[in-house]
Amino acid sequence: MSDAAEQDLIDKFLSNDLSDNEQKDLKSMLNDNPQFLKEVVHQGHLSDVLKNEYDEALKADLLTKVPLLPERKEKAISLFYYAAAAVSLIFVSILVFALIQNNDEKDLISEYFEPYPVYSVERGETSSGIDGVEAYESGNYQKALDHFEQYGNLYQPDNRFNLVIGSSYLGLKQGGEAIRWFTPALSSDDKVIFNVANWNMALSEYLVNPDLAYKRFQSIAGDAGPYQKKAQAILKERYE
Amino acid sequence: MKINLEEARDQFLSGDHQLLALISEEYGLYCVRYLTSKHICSQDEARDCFGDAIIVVRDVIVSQKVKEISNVRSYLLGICLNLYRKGIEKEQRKADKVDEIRSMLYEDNSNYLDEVIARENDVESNRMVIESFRELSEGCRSILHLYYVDGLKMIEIAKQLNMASVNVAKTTKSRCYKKWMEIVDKFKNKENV
Repeated sequence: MSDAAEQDLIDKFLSNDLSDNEQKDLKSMLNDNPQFLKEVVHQGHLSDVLKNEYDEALKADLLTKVPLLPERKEKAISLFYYAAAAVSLIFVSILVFALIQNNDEKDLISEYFEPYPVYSVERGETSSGIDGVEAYESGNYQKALDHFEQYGNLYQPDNRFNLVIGSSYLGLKQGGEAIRWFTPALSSDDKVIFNVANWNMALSEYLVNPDLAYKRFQSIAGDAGPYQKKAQAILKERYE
Repeated sequence: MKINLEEARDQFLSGDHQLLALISEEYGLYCVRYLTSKHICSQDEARDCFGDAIIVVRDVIVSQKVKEISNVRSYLLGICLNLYRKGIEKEQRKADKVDEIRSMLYEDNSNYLDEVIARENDVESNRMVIESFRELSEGCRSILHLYYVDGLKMIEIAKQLNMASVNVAKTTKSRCYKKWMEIVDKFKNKENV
């Protein structure tokens, strides 16, 4: 193979553009030609070193645009404790009131929460994943979460994963935790995942604070999506 | 904030990062606050995570892996959370390309490759690579940057730099690469003396 052809192969490797046949060629060249192997490693390394240097400089520059969080001062802390004590008292009172009202929120979730039913089990996934799905589909959300925790340690979480975990927390009526998992799922390009995550996010926000959910329900009610009618019904029932 | 991905990509490739600066100003504090409040994570760690996330945003736009970003804030926060959960370390990222090559090889080559990797990961050698790159002309730095940092194909590089053909781009890149390696060798000889 000529020098130019070898460099072409390296170019395609570095820009992740190898066809299946070229990948075979590259493998055999790497095994048969130590000089070529050295050159590929060398150029790959140059790419890593340059990219890392560039990324770090850019990152440092961009972080100057992000203000620092204010430091806590001692005076502020003691004041903070007094304020916290006062707020706690108010909070307990509100909690008692909320407990009386809570049945209302639970009814809303029971009525409108739809667990996401399409977590397919692909070949090669571990039993933690499969058991988790089974527990999830049978509505045993706490057990599902225990399994998913093990599953998450083994595999890189994706938006489906975030969605199912969020839905499990919503099934357990833990709105705050559910919001944490739905937030990344909202960035999904998959329309189905996005719609379910957005809907469940609105229900989770409603659990935490109905005022928080109002805007999202409005936005869903305004879109011609699968949850439009339900959102319109909630707005009418709960906010008018 | 709405991002036009094509415009953003052109800006990034020409070295203009005003958009990223704007995103950092607008959503940086939000993400840092979120990470520090929802996780056991210091402000420094959260800022570092946000910095990595914004680089990921740049990379996915340049590599055209994303077709639309409907909500920048949620997208950015999602990346921050994923990065935080995965606990990606800088060293891991640096070793990715080498690991990729390692995985393509048969096991009986691993001893030889380990030697190569050990030499390539030499901190001193990395410093020389960077310093010698800075010695190159602006034209050479541009083409090598598009190739090694942005990972563009030669045809895209030719288009980006308004070159007459892919072959012109290939020849220019090859000439610049040789020049670069000559400077690296000079640095190495100087160090040895």
